[in-house]
Amino acid sequence: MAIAEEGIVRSELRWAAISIGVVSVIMLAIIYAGLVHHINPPSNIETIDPKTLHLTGEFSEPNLGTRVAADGQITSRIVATQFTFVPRCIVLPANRPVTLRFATPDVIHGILVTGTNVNTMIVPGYVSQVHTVFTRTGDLLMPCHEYCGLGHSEMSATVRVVPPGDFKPDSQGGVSCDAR
Amino acid sequence: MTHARNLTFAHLWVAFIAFTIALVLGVWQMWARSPLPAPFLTASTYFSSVTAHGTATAYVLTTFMVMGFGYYVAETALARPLPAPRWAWIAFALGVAGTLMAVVTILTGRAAVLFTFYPPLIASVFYYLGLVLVVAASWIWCVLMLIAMGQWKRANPGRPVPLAMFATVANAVMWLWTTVGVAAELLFQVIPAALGLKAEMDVGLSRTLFSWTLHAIVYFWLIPSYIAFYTMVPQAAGGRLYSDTMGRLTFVLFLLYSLPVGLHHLLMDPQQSNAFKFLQVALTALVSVPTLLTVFTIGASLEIAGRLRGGRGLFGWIAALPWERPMVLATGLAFLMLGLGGFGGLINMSYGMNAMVHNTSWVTAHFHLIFGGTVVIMYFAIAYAIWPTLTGRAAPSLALQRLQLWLWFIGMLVMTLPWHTLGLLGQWRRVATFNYADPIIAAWGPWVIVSLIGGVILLASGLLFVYNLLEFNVAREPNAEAPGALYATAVHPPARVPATLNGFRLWNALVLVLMVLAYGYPLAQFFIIKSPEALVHRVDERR
Amino acid sequence: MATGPSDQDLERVMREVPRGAFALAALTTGLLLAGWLLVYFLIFLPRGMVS
Repeated sequence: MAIAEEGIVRSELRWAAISIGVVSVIMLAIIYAGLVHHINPPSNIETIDPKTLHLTGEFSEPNLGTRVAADGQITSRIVATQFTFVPRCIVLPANRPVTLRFATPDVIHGILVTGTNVNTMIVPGYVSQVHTVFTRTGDLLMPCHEYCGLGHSEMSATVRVVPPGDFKPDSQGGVSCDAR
Repeated sequence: MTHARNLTFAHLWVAFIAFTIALVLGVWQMWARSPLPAPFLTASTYFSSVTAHGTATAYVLTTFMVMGFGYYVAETALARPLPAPRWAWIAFALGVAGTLMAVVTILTGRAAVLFTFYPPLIASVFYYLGLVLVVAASWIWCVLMLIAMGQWKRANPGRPVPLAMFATVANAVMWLWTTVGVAAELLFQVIPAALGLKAEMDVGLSRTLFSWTLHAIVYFWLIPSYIAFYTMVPQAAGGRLYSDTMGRLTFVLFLLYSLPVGLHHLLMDPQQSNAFKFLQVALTALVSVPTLLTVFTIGASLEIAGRLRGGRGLFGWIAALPWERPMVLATGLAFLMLGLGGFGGLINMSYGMNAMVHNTSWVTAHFHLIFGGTVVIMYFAIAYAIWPTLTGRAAPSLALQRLQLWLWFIGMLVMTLPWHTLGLLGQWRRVATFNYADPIIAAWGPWVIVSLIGGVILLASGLLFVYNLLEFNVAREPNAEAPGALYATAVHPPARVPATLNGFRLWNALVLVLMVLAYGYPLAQFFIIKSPEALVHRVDERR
Repeated sequence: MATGPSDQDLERVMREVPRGAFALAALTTGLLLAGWLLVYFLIFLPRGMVS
């Protein structure tokens, strides 16, 4: 026989090596994006009690929306609940590092922000956190993208990205959509 | 064939009937999401339809196809009667009863939780019990496959188990491992909640348990198609299987690497660490290898066939292949869809890149293309190939079979290619009606309609498939071939294979090691960090 | 349906195989990698950092 089984297996192993090589290129690019461009999944594993989060602490209603802390850190806190986001609109500056933090008192939700890599699940029992820098201004759509019950289709919020000059915190450091 | 004939008929007809219903629901769902007004549309009917569509395609079509084809392989590849056929029929009855229980519950609006069930959303307990019965039926099938292979090995000491059966049993072993995740989630969390025994549940734990099942299950679905690639396609094309050994290795690699990768479905979840997400991404990269190997091995097998038919040069053998044969045509179309669907999958699994596509229509596009496309088109081809031996009649019209396959391919591309774009534009999933007044969403409208047209083509193809099978009943010419003639011969049929490629003891041990490594801490963490539980939200209350 | 190739015919074609399969597999895998890299550089990275 012109080609024996060893020859066949050798050709397969040669192809397997090439396949692993191709897949390795992809893995290296992924690692590069993670380490150099700081693009990683949202994985902060921070717990919160869904039954009490609306009553006190970080996710009580007066504390929601965008706030600039004394040290200049910009954080937007949003509660996802059947079937709305509180607040339904947040303002954030472009070209500045910002943090979005989400929690839910009821079921699984999730968000994406159109045109960006901002994407996270919102799981009852956990705080979801995404650090990012918005590069383009405008009104971005932030829908709930995970099935959360019959009202899921209507659940959506707006992320208003403004030029840094237009981002003006009030006396408590808060910035809201209504203030415009 | 002794017992398999009726068993295979029964299972495959249940599979295809469920599938046809799912197609109708799918088209209606796409109509609902489009700018065109759809009838009967409320949130309740839409999400019940999505649950039914997902349950019918992901749990019923697949499980019954795997079981029915498995019984067929067990008798025809091993050339001996199936052991304990009574148990096979008990399993069938359990599976049908479970399916009916789940379907009735869904149609009465008491199970709008989708086939991935989103705890703490909790449906009527009868939805979950229905699925438990289907899984129990499949476990009986697994045991029967193991017994059949064991009996053959004792009767044929030292000889290699025929590849089709080796692969079928690899699938059975993998399925037993796969179902542990969802079984634990149902048994310890979801069903107690559905029975009202628990008012709270740990959602992070339930999502992680479900992810254990969620990826490996797709390999449970695709292995019959790969069995066709390796053991039927070379024969249908008039060639030989390039390497029997590599075939065995491919199915072993699927057994090993389809399981410890489920966290790639939870890359955007806050309750798992980057460390374990990255580990499972690396393992996912490895599970692409058996598919890349398959492309080469089956390519080489078809190249043998093409060159035997006079094809010359680097690519001339492709045109020389007997494309008029449905099994060959289906394979070509399957491989085209595998390329596109595999591309989508590589994007999905790429760690941080998942953020670009998670829960958008890109994901919907990926799994419809890779499962609905590559895998299901081979289900059609398998049915067309074995129907003559089941019915005793020759195929009445190969032209109609080819037309059906082409319609499926075209419909699948027309439906899924727009979804890829829409996903990147931000179109998100599980929406009953879009607000087309919003300018961002309005721009999507035309593409949604194009996608809907693809769905209608698929429905037509699905109906033609059923028609083609029914036509056998009125066909005149008797079938001339024995079932065994369907199976391919290798270039070098092995006289012996190492025990590791003839059985699963070593691989089971390795699976255990991999699962402890990949899932050990991700599951244990829920018992270490006291994560607060979420309140159960029932969806089955009558309003 | 084919009754199977003769040993002579099989011997003849096995001198070429798997050149064609290799070419096809390399082409398709190359396209896959190229597509992935296009998405990586043109869509993914420009969408910005998240962590």
